[in-house]
Amino acid sequence: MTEEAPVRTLAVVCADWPVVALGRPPGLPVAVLSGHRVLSVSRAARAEGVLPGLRRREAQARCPSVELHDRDDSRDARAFEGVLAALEDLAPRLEVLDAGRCLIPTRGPSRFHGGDRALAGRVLHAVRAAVAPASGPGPVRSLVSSDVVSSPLVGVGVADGPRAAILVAVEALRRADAAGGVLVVAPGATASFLAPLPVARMEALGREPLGMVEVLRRMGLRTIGRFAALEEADVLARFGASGADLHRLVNGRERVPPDVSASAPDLRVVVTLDPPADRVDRAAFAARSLAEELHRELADRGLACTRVLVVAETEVGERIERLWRSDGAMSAVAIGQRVRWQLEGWLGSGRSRSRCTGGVSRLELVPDEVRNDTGDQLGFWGGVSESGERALRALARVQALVGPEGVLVPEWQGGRSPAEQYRLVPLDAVDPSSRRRRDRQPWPGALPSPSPAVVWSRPRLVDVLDHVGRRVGVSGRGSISAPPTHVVFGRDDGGRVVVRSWSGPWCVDERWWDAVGHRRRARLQVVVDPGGSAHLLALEDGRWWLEATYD
Amino acid sequence: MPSVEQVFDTGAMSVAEPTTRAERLARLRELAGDLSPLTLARDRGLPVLAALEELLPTGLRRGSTVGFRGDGSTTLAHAVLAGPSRAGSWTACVGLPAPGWASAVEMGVDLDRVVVVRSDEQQSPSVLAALVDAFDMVVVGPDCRPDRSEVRRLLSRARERGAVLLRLDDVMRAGDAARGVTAWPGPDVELVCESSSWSGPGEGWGHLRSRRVTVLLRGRRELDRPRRVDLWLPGADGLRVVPDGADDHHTHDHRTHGVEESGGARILAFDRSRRTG
Repeated sequence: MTEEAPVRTLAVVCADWPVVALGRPPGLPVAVLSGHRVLSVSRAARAEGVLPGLRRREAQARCPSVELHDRDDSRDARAFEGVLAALEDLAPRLEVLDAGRCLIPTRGPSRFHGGDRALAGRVLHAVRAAVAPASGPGPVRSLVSSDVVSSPLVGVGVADGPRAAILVAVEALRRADAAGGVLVVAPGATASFLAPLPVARMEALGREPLGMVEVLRRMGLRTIGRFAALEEADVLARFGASGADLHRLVNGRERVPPDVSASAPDLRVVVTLDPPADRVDRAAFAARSLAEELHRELADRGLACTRVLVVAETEVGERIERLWRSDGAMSAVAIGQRVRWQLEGWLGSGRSRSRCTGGVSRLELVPDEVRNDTGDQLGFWGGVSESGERALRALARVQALVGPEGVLVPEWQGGRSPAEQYRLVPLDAVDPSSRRRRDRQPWPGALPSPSPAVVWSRPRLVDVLDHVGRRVGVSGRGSISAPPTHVVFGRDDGGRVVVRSWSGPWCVDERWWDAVGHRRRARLQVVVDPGGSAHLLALEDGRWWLEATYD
Repeated sequence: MPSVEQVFDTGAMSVAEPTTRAERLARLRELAGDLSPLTLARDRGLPVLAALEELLPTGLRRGSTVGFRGDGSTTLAHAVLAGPSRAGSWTACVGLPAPGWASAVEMGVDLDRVVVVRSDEQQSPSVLAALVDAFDMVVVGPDCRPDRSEVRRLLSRARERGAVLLRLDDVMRAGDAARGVTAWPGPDVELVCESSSWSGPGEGWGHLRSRRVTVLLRGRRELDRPRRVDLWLPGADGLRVVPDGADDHHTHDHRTHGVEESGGARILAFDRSRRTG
């Protein structure tokens, strides 16, 4: 087998992209949460000690003024589209890994721009210019746009092979002060450049190396160089094919795609939209079924897609395309999601401006790079069952009827009040195979089990009276003014019921440091006659609300 | 296989020659049961939690409608959903105004296989039809009001596809008057929470801990006789059947016409996924 030289590649890595995508002024402490764990933080928040991986409460404790936002993959992708548009002026062929990371094969662009270093400098400049306007609307922008220090961190790296380039770009990010955000590794010098780095850096390459890094560290191989010095056969025997791939990479002999054993078939799936789709959800729906078709076609051939080309043509004849690369084989859902992000960037939604002047009339997906589908081992009980596939197909039909925002799944997010513990998120926004579970940690201040079976989405106004008909109050120290004897559910006395037993009040004082989010509530559980039904009542701002019913 | 051979063995047949029409029919049914090669998955009921086996011994029959009424009906619906949900069935919810997911999880529902659909009035028939096609269980809440002909179509579709429809009424019972003009025919199985009593809170101390519910099951089909079961819904350690010998005024009057088949203090428990302590 002839050894092919790795493709010389430039990688762009933007640090903390989910925060950058929010477009908040850079001086603010901002964090993006996934569930109630911190996913990404701004520099100001990092300076206050807020780090990724912390829990929501820990983050708030370390920096009370931190602004918390929920994760939104499509927001990230939309914002990154602006960066990509700027880069397309420099190099025609971009590969997007995810929001915040992209690759450029340098062969042509370097020759045009006068060398790798010149290209890398221009790319860095273009990315910084594209990101700066997103750092805030209005006057804030003028304050910071030229200030390189407060602008988001961008790392640009050039090396032999795309994954090596990512490692170099991450290194450039870390040495931003010394290297100015650009590191160009000379051809053939990739292995010696990577050798002194700790093995933990390989975690940037995705899920597979994650488990390996820990094993290597326990073996006492702390630098990439020590790992690279191992015999290839030994690595293959211990870590399997993906380990051997990584070993080749750190030796500067990266192979693209990771396991070249299949050549891309002459396959493309096309859908013509008539009338042209001018709204994202319509186009995205078509894209989703298209992605499923592609996935099916590939699966029939025993292949899986690692790089897909998305081509959209508009009714006025514009044609835009984008390459998406993934670490592993892409599922139909993953392909569909990428197409959707792409379309959101192109058709414009929210803040981003539209790049298309007309609706999308034709969509095409081309599997640009495939590999043999070795299949993912499903969990013992897990995996997608036949009934699950059937259900997801039916949901796609339902989504066509009610729109993607109408099909929701409950997701655990944690909280003290029953209404906060779960939220409904659109099905498209979650990967059905990896939904977030309720964690087993206790949640201080939460109501004891059993939980109410009916949680009113809009609390109803009620009244709680004592034996002389006065409204029951709760003092600042948490003591009740008088035992409650009656609850009035309706406007008139028709809904008046007798309290048989009650417990509480339980006072909750949340976000007392925050003028807007501050909430003080006192809760009561009451069992009422007639019927013996139990309710959860909350007193807030002097009024009683029916929060939930233990039906 | 011996029964198959028996069919051709005239000698054996003549020995057990049925005389009356009823006996012949019974014999025929027995033979038909023996001869059918296997039980199709859709002929089997959806499994229910162990604690509900006394109430629904054959599980949830596919294609049937289950109605819930009374205080505690939502929790009971969660408990009914939990069995199939744990066994891998998917659930779709339409028109539920106030779902309490934490309670559903405590009862054992696997939220990974629960989907909520929000639709407006015009689309709800086609949405329901699509859901019934693919989901094992479809929960129809009070906010979803198909008209009479839509309901008829929906029910026949559910029967054909083997989906179980679970109907939940408005919790605040505001729709009592409206129920008279509901478009739904009586459900195949109706679970009525006749009495429910909470224990736990006192006069400002304690908290809600357990609830005892008497559930009446009445059905239109093979269940010719209504039956009653006392349940802890939930008890201190999850959903349980109240043991027959429990000294409580509740069981006393029901035992005369209710749970005679539950012999002795049979405790059916299941490993409820909740924090304890």
